[in-house]
Amino acid sequence: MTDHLQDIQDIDLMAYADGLLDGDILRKGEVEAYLALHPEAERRVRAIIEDNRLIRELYAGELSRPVPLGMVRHLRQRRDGDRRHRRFVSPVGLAASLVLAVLAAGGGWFVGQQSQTPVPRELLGAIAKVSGAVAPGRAALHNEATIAPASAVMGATSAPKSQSVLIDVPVPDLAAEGFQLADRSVMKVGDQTMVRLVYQGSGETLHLFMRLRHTAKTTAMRDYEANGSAVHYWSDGALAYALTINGDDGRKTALAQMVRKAVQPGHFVSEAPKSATETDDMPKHIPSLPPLSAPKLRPSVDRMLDNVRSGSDGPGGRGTTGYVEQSVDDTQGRSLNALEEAVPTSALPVSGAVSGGRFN
Amino acid sequence: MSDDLEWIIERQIPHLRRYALALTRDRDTADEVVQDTLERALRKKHLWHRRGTIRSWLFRILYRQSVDHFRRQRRDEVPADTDMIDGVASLPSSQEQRIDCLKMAEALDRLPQEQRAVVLLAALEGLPYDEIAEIMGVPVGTVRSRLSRAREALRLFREQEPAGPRHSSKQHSAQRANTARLRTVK
Repeated sequence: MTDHLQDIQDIDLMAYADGLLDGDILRKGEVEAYLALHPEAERRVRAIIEDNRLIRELYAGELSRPVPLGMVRHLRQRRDGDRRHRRFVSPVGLAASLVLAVLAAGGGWFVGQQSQTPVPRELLGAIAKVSGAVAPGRAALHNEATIAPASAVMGATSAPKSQSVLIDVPVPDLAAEGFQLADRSVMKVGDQTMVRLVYQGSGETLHLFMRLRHTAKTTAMRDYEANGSAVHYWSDGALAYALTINGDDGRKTALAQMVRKAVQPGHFVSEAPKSATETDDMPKHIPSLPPLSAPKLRPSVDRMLDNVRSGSDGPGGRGTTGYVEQSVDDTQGRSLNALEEAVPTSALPVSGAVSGGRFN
Repeated sequence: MSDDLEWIIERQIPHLRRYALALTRDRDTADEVVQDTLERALRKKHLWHRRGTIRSWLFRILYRQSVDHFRRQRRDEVPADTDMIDGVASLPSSQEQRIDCLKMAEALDRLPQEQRAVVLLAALEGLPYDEIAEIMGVPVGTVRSRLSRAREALRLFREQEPAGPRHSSKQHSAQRANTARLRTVK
């Protein structure tokens, strides 16, 4: 023990005074033995213990003070948002917090395209076989927005209308930049059907539109002025993107670049994820979805819109949320038209940008 | 995990507020620093790679926020929040204890910022030195030396300084000079 006492250093004394040796009985005993032999060190340690006590006393009431609601509100909103995202995560292990599945008409869509397509050639053959993978009327994709663009959009007019391909598109995670996904919807913009994602940050809102493209290529980001607001648009692989930003003008370019970095290319899948037909643990509604007025809609369209609004059962699918279930059949056009009627004009900020092939 | 992370962060808020108040000695400033800390933590949560504890990660962010705050204020000393000290003094404690708390508050005020930060982490939060080192971004040896010097300065100040009511401006000036001398000891 005496030998060990020679090793007692200043840091041991402080650690003892700070209570850091409580879990080290042996060393604590050695320090106490040392203190018994060294009154000056013992007085110093007692002074440190007393100082610590006074400091704790000085702020004794602080831990019990109520935390301002504004301080935790953001955290709880985040947590609620994360819970919602987690429910959206596919159980098949997709990395993204949310996956959009885009149902494209025309199995021959990419067949004959040039080699710049990001889709592996082996997938090209599989695309033709995808027909029927999601049967008409059974295209419900759990937690995914499913759009069934008109065949003209895909340039596959010769393909049977029942043919389809699925593209899973990870929804960009902008949480690190302070933006949360607040809404997602499928809408008709001009003559194009698009997926719209709405992100909200502190005082800023992002509207990101995605749709399938005629060709697979990557283009630089461009800006387009429409109705007094700027639209940033670009193409990346099989998808075209358009972005509008409500916020500080000085940050718009940087935010647009941030979003572009965050988007990930979609990839073809041969069938809908299992989650497409599973409804367990699904939220029954998305509170953040904007109200859509849909007067005079046919019952089937009503149900479809209900899927968007509240996740209620839709035709051919069980209770899900946030997806639009559509089959690639002759009724699709009417359904989309009805959707267009239902979406307020104010919700279509990029209509000017996507017309005339600018957004492709 | 993200859900859990935010839950854990929320649990740390009272500790962050206490430490921020001890650093800044001003409630509004402290809450401002904590708010900045929380926002930054959420914004940068992808940078927390499970190295160390969430607590030390949060305290590190808070410490840097406070440093930035003092840099903006162009000072590394803090004014004693009389109301806060009076609040302490109104606690049902003995007169002697109240005076001791006043002395401690003044002694802490006169420590260099980096020494005060270390002492508060050790005394208030009871953090081990390696965690304090992680928070401060310095080696453990530096923590040890800052802690040792800070405690020696506290001891000297408490032995030399009269306790009791706030001092006159003349006395205050003399204390400032004394503070400057103390601050050269790091």
